[in-house]
Amino acid sequence: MQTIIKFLKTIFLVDLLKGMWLTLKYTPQPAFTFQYPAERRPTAPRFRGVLRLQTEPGTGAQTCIVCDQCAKACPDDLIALGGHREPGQKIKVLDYFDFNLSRCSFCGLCAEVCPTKPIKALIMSEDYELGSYSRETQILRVDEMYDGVPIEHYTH
Amino acid sequence: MAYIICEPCIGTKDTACVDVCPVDCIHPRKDEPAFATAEMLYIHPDECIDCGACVPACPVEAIFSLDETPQKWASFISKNASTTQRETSTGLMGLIDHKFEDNFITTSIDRVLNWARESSIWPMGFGLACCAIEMMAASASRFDIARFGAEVFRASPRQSDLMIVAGTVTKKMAPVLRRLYDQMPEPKWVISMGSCSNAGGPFPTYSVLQGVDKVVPVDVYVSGCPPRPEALLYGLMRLQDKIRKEGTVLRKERVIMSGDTEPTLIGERA
Repeated sequence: MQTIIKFLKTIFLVDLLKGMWLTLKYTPQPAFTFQYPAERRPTAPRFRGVLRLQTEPGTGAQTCIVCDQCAKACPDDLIALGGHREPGQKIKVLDYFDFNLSRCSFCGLCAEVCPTKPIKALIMSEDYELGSYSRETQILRVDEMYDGVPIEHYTH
Repeated sequence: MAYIICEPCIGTKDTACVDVCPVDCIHPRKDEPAFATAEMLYIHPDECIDCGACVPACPVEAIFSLDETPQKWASFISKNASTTQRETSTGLMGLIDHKFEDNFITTSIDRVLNWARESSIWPMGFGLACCAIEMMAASASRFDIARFGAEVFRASPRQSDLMIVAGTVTKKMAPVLRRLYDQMPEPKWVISMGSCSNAGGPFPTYSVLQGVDKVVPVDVYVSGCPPRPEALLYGLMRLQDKIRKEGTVLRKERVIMSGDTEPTLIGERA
């Protein structure tokens, strides 16, 4: 009896059909693949991307108070910033903010210690598309700190 | 670097310098047809070997090295370069030196070859640290690096076009990495993935190589610690963009930063 069943199974390719059925079951489902350049995966709320300086929303005024806390907090000394005091003004004006992206391990300590309220001056943004052709472009100057690293958009 | 012939030569054309020049880089020579009409002599900056033999030979002291050229005669630097290059590029040497311009045939072949190259970049199956995990994720079905034609992670460097340096390169690993790179056939490219291979990352220590560009030329640096799979795909697209602009028939020079020095933050600028 066992032999006959085995023989019939072999004749009618039962095991093969079982396997093919599994394949067929998944075929109508939408593809698991994420079409990256076309669609972007939403980042987690606590995602730590490249550093970004924020301005006051609406007015666009500078929020950074040049307190140097981020530069002191950085474990790899990747931040250098400086400013000067305008006569008659309480707040320091930010002159330069250099950030060495090439070594950054995205630990977020710099953004954590930033004391400015209610708008945090230094945040970890959601930008993760960082590809550059040279080491020099990995030093972000103050313009790129405000506007973010320029991202090429590939469509094809 | 080169030597520059300046104003005193105009009308002099002594040619004493031509006689002492060991590589005949001073044009036009006496046997060249342009000699009769040229108002002065020029040094070809690419041919000049900076020996300086022409400087004492000049009777009117018209020859200076590039650094010591007086400010009033600074315009002669470009004059030397442009005049001599125009003369040589018209001759047969110009063809051999690949100095002729792009034409329809070469650019069309370039486009086809570059299309083929950019759409089948085979990386080497080679990971060093945690970035390799993201590299594996990028090659799996969720992100699917196969959409860019780079799915075949080859086990042998002889079959691969792209080296993705994913992870910390220790100084003990560096010679091995260089050997793998040397074993790859041309054309080959390198993506440096993550902070560790970009610049040494959080390990400024005795045992870690401070940037993989100290041993191999890097085409694209992908920042992140580790970069997420999308960032690696973005780096791959940047590389494809770069390949698309490369000259294959004309063999344009690939400009790659050597990375001997780490760029430093300008803290004292203000």
